[in-house]
Amino acid sequence: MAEIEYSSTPDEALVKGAQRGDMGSFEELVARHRDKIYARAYTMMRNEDEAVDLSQEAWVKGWQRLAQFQGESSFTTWMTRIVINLCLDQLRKKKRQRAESIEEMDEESGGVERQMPIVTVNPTERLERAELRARIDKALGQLSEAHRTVLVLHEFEHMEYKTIAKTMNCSIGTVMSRLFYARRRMASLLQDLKKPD
Amino acid sequence: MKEEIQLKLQAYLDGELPAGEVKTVVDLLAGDAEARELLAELTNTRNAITAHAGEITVPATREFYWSGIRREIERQEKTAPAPAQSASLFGMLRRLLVPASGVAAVLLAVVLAGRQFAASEGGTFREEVETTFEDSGAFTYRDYSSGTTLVWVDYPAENDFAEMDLEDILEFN
Amino acid sequence: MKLMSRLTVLPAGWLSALFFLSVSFPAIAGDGKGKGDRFEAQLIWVTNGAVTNKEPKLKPVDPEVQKKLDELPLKWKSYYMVKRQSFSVPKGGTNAVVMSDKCTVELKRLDEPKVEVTLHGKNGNVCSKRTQPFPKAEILIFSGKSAGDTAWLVTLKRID
Repeated sequence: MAEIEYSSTPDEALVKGAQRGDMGSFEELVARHRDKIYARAYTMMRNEDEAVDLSQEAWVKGWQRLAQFQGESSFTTWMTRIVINLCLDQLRKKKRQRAESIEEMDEESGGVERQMPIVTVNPTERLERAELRARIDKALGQLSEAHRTVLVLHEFEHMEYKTIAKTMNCSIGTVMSRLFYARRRMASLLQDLKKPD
Repeated sequence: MKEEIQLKLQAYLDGELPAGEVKTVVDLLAGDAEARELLAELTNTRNAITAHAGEITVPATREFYWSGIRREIERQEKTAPAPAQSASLFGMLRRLLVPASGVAAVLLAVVLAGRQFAASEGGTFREEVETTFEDSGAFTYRDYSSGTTLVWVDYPAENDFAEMDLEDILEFN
Repeated sequence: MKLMSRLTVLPAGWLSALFFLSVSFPAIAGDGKGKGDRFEAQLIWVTNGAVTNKEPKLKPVDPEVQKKLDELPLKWKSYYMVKRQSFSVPKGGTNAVVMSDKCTVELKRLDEPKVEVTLHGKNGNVCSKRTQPFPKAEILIFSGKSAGDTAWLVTLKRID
């Protein structure tokens, strides 16, 4: 019997193999997409250990729920939804443990962003890609979890406002407000990347 | 610029503005430099963030990362009770916990009522809410990473603080 | 003694603020040497413009506060400390400091580490009241727009 050449097998076939219980197919799917799933967890949680744990948990859940995957979306999109939901659950748990509510603070931030200057200089003009990436990464870490989550879902997952609202269990207006604030805060945090005069 | 307009500009950028409102925003952009600047800022920020996507990698080898997943899958498959047992255990817990939660709810109601009563009689009961605003005009920004809370109090602008200027301050010193 | 000698040259606003405090609080934070945990309030003026010798009383903000301010999404570039006042608040007690004739900060210690902070404006009007946990690493900032392209901040932190 010929050994399966996993590395050259397309995702769809690997998913089918995994659905039949072939752990090797699933391992290949993990190897292919682990960075994307981990990256999503990391951008939301801002902690490597948590992101590793949650992304691994997502893969475990993915394995357990493979029968539910019918191919309506790509496998990575399906897996990304799983890890996002796990991260949101984790953030909610943390929020309950914290003294203050993310949402409560979030809705009250309007007085601040109105004071921000408009940043007109393209921050990518002067920077090397790696430097820009590091600065953006740091700035993302300075956003509140609620703001960062909206930004991640919109910019990285390309979710529409209404989908984000459904995912985060809030109104579309809240999504728009959070997204606006998150972008303005990012612009503010990246101000010092202006091209020198 | 009003928040409503700012959000419309953003929706325009994101392609989420209702078709009937697009012309209004286009007209605004044609005649309002501030609106154009804000749109440029939002666009630049979006582009910079998007360029950042896909650069994060798992800080572990493929083997190490996978071994954790595999161990957990195997552990859960070994320890997962049979469906009949699971239903039975759940049913047992439910039979135990539902009446207990009912008793707990009644006890909680009695305790809260007692505390409220104490408060109304001049007791020292304080709400367990950690953060409250008694002035509806304040906005708050919270940066968890630095442990900083900023309360913006000059909204609406007709309060005393909005009037405070440097002369007031220097005169005072 | 120092406070008494200053009273002779105080403007009316000062006197009204002191009157408000004297009828409102059991203790006025004067020298800040009372019993209890110590807190520090700073009144900070912020601007985007250049500051000249016209305002010689303005001092640079201390680095710890400056670092926190730099991390906030505010548009201003320059922060100047106008007044710094430390004060003590006993456990379960209340104290207040006058930062200007339109600004008094009142702090009440609740169950640790919670505090209730009230910002009073002219004639003691309550402008903001806030209850929150306030461990040592925290900084609470009240802020408002001022004339022109300037604003003011009142920072509050626990110093021991």
